[in-house]
Amino acid sequence: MIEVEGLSKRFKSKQALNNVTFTAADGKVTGFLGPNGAGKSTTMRAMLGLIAPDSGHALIDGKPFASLRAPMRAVGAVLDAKSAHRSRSARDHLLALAYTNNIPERRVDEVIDMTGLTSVAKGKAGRFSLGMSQRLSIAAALLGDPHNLVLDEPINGLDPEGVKWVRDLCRYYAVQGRAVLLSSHLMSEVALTADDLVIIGQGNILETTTVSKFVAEHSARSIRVVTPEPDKLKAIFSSAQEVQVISDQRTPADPPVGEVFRITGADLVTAAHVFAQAGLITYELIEEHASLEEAYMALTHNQVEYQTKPVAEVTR
Amino acid sequence: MSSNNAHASANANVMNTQSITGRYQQRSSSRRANRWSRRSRLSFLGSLKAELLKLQSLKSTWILLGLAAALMVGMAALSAWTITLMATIDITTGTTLDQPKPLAAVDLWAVLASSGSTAALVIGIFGVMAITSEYTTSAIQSSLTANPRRGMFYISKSIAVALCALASGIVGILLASGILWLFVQGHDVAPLSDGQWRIIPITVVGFPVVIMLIALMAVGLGGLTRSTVGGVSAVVVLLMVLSSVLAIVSMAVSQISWLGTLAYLTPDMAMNNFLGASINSEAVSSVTSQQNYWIPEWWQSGLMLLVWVAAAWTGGLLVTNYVDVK
Repeated sequence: MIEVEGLSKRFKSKQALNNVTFTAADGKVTGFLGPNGAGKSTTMRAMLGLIAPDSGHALIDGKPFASLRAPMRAVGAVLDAKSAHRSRSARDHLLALAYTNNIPERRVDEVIDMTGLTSVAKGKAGRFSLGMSQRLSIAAALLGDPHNLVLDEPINGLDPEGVKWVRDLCRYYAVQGRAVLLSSHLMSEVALTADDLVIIGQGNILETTTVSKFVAEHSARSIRVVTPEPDKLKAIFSSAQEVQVISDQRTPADPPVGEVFRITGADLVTAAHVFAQAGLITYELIEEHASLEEAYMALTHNQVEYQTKPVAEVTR
Repeated sequence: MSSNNAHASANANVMNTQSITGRYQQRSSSRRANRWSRRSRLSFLGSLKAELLKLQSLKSTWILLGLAAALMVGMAALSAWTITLMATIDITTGTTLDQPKPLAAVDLWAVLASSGSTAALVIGIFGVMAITSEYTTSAIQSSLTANPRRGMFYISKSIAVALCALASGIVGILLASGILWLFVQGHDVAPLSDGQWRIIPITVVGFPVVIMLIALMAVGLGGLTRSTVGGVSAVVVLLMVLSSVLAIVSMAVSQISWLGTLAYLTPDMAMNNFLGASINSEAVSSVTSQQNYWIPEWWQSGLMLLVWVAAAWTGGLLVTNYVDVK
């Protein structure tokens, strides 16, 4: 279990963390969500003693990280994709880490095998692609068979198979009763993997909740319809004031013909029946929860550290 | 179990969910695995072993240590060649002597002792890089996550670097002695006088130790600056620039000749003066003995070098211990 209490940290002119408090419980994957520069990495670094907080503390299974007798058995951390000396072989990098905590050599070969690095283990870490480096960082985190996993954006640079592997790894560790803290700036990623949710923006915890609660609260459902008869569709809902029919942009997943609409405030089953009775031709009829990402964006929008201008404004 | 293995080997190169869970179940059920897990803990010896492996696994370590030893041998060979050549020439007339003059043993020892000053710079670069490469490659994050006791990390790294430098110094002085011995074959050698015997232990023991001390000072400078450029610059300034500047200024401005004494307090002059054992040997000393300022004794210079090393190393320890790793 990882307990973070009242962490504050100021870097020169910027308050990086402001009274950050949350818990990553055993048996759960805790998603740590926030835009770039929100303080996710700083929190994780403070947890692992790399950064000394101005106030507050973090406990790993009830103790400060630096006081643990077997740090690698307590925490496996991925803080950066590139965390090995460029001129050292992957295996020597892992072996050196294993030596510090008296972890046997065969465990090194085990994690190399698990992360799929066997064929490149003797190669220099500097020649690795981002994805391979990420796997090497994950391998290092798994060395001590740790009770807590701290993963800072671990899927950056991974191929789809690697992404799925990391998700499964997180779930697997949680099922075994271990604590997993997974940071990401993508709501969709966290929603797929995490149980609990901690949202941070500009160093402040904005919300501490569970993924299912967040989904229930924030995802207003909508129906996506593609039809060649837009007038008929609008006429169907013209009397129902709570229902909104909005023209939507076509995505590659949509059929190439017909017009695309998003309908909010209507139930899927009822709508389908009404369409059938009215004889409306539909090429596509899907229920969407897409607004999860929007809810997250709405929550963090004012907290975004590096705000971008709309594309149109940039190119003007 | 067998299907798990087959699965794992078929996907040896791919992250595979089934193979990982299979392996976990395999491992968690095996008593063998639990045994290592219970025994695994942070230890100083483990940390030292890790640091030795880190150095040994880098090609740059072998290149720099090899270069240092080669420079010691090369410098010794060059000086030995000069001495033996000079012994065959009459300095006043410039003609070749029929019978070479006998060589003074003290000169030969002095040659040996002074052959490390160039190598010290290379050893300095090695010491700096041993620690700054952790920061420049972000390897420091994984190192400190595996071993959050930064003092232990710094001390074990220092010991590993010191051992490597010591080995390089010992190999260097042994090879240099061999070369020197080859050069003086066929020459008469005048034995050491009573007051000069101390140059033997100072050279044999002192030389590798000094090389080791320079490496430790460099580790400290690397720890202080956390940047290869900064650390190497600091080494170059302390081992080359500082003493030269002070010596030149003191020569130019005779009123403030005490700057000459100050020059003797710099690390490289302290090192050379210590190894020179305060024995005036014409073979190595380029300065005349008529100085109007105080020159420290060999042991005082040794202490001065220790002060430099202690200051730099402690500074590195403090920065490593207390400054955030970003």
